[in-house]
Amino acid sequence: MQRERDDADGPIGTEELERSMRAGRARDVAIILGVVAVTLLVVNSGGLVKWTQALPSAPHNAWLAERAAEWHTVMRRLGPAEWFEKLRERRG
Amino acid sequence: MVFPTLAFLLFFLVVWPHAWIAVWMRQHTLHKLVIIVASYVFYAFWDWRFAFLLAGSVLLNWGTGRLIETARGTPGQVRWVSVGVAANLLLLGVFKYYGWFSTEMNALLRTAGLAREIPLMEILLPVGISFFTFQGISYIVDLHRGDLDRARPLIDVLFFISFFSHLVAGPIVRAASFLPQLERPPRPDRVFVGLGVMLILWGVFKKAVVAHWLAVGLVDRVFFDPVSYGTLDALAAVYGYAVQIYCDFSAYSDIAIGIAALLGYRFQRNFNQPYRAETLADFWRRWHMSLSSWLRDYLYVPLGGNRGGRWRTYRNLMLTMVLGGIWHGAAWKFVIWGALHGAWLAAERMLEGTARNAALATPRPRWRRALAVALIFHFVCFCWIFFRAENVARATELLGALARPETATTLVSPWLIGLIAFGLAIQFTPPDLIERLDRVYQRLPVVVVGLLAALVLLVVELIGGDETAAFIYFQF
Repeated sequence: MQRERDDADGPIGTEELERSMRAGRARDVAIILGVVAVTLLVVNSGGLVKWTQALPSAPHNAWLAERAAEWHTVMRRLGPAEWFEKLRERRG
Repeated sequence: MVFPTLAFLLFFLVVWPHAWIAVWMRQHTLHKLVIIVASYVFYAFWDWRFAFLLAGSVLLNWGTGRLIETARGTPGQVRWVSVGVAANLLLLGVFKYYGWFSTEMNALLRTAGLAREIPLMEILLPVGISFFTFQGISYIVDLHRGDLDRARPLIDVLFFISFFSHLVAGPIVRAASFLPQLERPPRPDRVFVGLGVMLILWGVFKKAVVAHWLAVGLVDRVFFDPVSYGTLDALAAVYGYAVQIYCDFSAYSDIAIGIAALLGYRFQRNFNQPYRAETLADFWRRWHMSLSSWLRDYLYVPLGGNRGGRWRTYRNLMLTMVLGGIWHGAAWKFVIWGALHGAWLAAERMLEGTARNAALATPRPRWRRALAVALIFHFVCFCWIFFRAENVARATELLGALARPETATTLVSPWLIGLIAFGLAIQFTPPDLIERLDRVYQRLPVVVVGLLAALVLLVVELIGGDETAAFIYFQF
């Protein structure tokens, strides 16, 4: 099968982007993921409760939902979750 | 499981460390197995039965690859390629087109006064079948053409076709560009963290905020019942859909590319500011680039491309675009959408010689280039009407609403206009914006990057929709 190429073809890979970017370390991703996960768990604990409540009905999911609710209560008491909920309510 | 959800974040938080721990333990096979198992779990979230179909598709392509390798240099090679491609198309045909084909054939038989009918069957459409079938064909054809030097072991073909990052809505990854990446484990000191994180966050924002609000606040309502709306609402819905489908589909691609980058893999880019195109051919070099280049290399070129004279080129363009339309779904509206694009591309090709000479003689002034961009954008918007509408009749109703002399508007709001303007403005940002942002990223401590990423996600959670709808391209 004969190949044919146009002027502008050749898949544009992310190579061209990467050429002008600096590669990092997988360890950096671990730190970023960790910080994101902890921040979301603290500030958006309400989202976790909502998610666990939407899981299919099963004993371990019920257990998970209870733990998430307890965690959310603590985060509300400490402040960040309540502050985020107020922002959300203001949005309407 | 949809990308911008808590469920996916938790899934990724489990998969990512396991994949890298295997690399750290120098267990390359284990690393691949982690991602393959994760991919099947991810896919089984939609319907576990389809995981067997996916595995069957992988086995089919891997087996065909072995047969091609064995028959290399003999007439049997072409035979096995044909059998493999036909088997892939048959799989796609049964699951995607059988229902449409039988309905249309029965209508035709009834019109002809024949009593016999083709049995109708309710066949569920496996999510992502169009994507993984095309990747399977890419494996077979790349091997046959010599773009891929040899058949790959089953574990590599499993990884290539099933990788959760691109599995359900692309980009359509080429065998020749991806499989060589599996020969060595990804290097933990060469991860494009800035690129990956920025693409993921940008994708989440485009999907959960821009695409979501345009869909629920404007597009879905107008396209559901076009006769109830006047010109302004209909016009806003058409522009809104142009922005929505871009922000939806490019978001999926960005997140997929970003996730692959964080796992040490590289995909093709899939979008490059498509609405700034000055010709439709240019649009197709910027929109869904992995599909358009796939169609070019595996369909247009084998059909003869531009090698057989003018009329054959026009025919090949038309056929490629109509089949590209049908790839999106079994419906006449996609045939019309593809035919419109094919006809315009053929017309551009027809005028190309004259236009090229004129362009060489005098560089086009800025206003003419702006006019060309506006013209192509409006043509693409016109075609989107057929693409988005439930059927051709609904598309015609929407065209009627556009022509109705009624300027009262019930849906258009500053927020929605702002979203449309934002979606169009991002088409004209500097092409090297991501590189510039990467330089900013390099100067920041990693913990600060994590906090900023979390902040972006919280803002999206605040202003985005409560429920994340499935991506548009899941249905294809």
